[in-house]
Amino acid sequence: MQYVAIIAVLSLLSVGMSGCISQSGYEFKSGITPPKLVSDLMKNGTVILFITQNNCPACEQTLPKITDLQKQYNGTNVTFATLNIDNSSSSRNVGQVYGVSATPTTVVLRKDGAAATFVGVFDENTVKSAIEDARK
Amino acid sequence: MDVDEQAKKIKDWAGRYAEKKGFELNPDEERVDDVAKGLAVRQEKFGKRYCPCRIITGDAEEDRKIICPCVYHEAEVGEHGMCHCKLFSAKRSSEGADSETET
Repeated sequence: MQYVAIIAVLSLLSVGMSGCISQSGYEFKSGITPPKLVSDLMKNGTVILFITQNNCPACEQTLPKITDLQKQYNGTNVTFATLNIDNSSSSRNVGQVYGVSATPTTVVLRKDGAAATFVGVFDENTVKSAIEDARK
Repeated sequence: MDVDEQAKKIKDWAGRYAEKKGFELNPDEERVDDVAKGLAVRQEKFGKRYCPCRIITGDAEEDRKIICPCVYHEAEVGEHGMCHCKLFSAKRSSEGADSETET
C-alpha cells in the first residue's frame, strides 16, 4: 500500500515537473497571437526577435552575442530579426505584443507561436538551448 | 546645454549618488559614458532622465518608475551586481583593491 502511495506521489511530481519551464530557467508561453510582421517570418521556421531601442547601452553590449548566434544558425530554418522600437510603429507593436518593458529583449518563437523571452544581456548557452527546444 | 555637456553632468551626479548609496559606477567607463549619453538624450527629448534601456509607455505614473535612479536599481544591484542599464554596480571588495596596492 505504501509503495502504491509513493509511486502515486512520484507520478504526480513528474507530471508537475513536465510543464513549460525548462531546467535552464526559460519558459515558452503560449496564447500570444503573433503580429503579422512576425507571423510572416514564422513561415520559414523558428524566429528570434532581437528587440532594441536607440541609445540603449545594454542593446549594444548584447549585439555581438546575437550576431554570433546568427552566424551559428546561418543556412538553417532559424530566422533572426532585429526590431528597433524607435524606428517604426510596427516594431513598437511587436514590443507591446510580447510585453517588452526593457531592452534588449530577445524572443525565441516556436512554430506554434509560443514565446520564450530573455531580458537584458543574455547567456548565449541558455538562448541556444531555447532555440534548440523551439526547433524540435 | 548640449547633450555631451548634459551627459557629463549626469555622470558626475551618478558618481556622487553611487557613493552615497554604497554602490559604485560600472568599472567599464565606456559603458558609463554610453548610459550617461542615453540619459542625456532622453532628458533632452522628454524632459526627464528616463533609463535608456527601458520603454517609455506614455503613462506618466508608470514612467516615473523609470526615471534614473529607477525604482528597480537597488534590487537589481543586490541581485545581479548591476542595474539593468549597467550604470550602477555593487561595490567591489576592498580586499582586492588592498592587494593591488601591496607589493
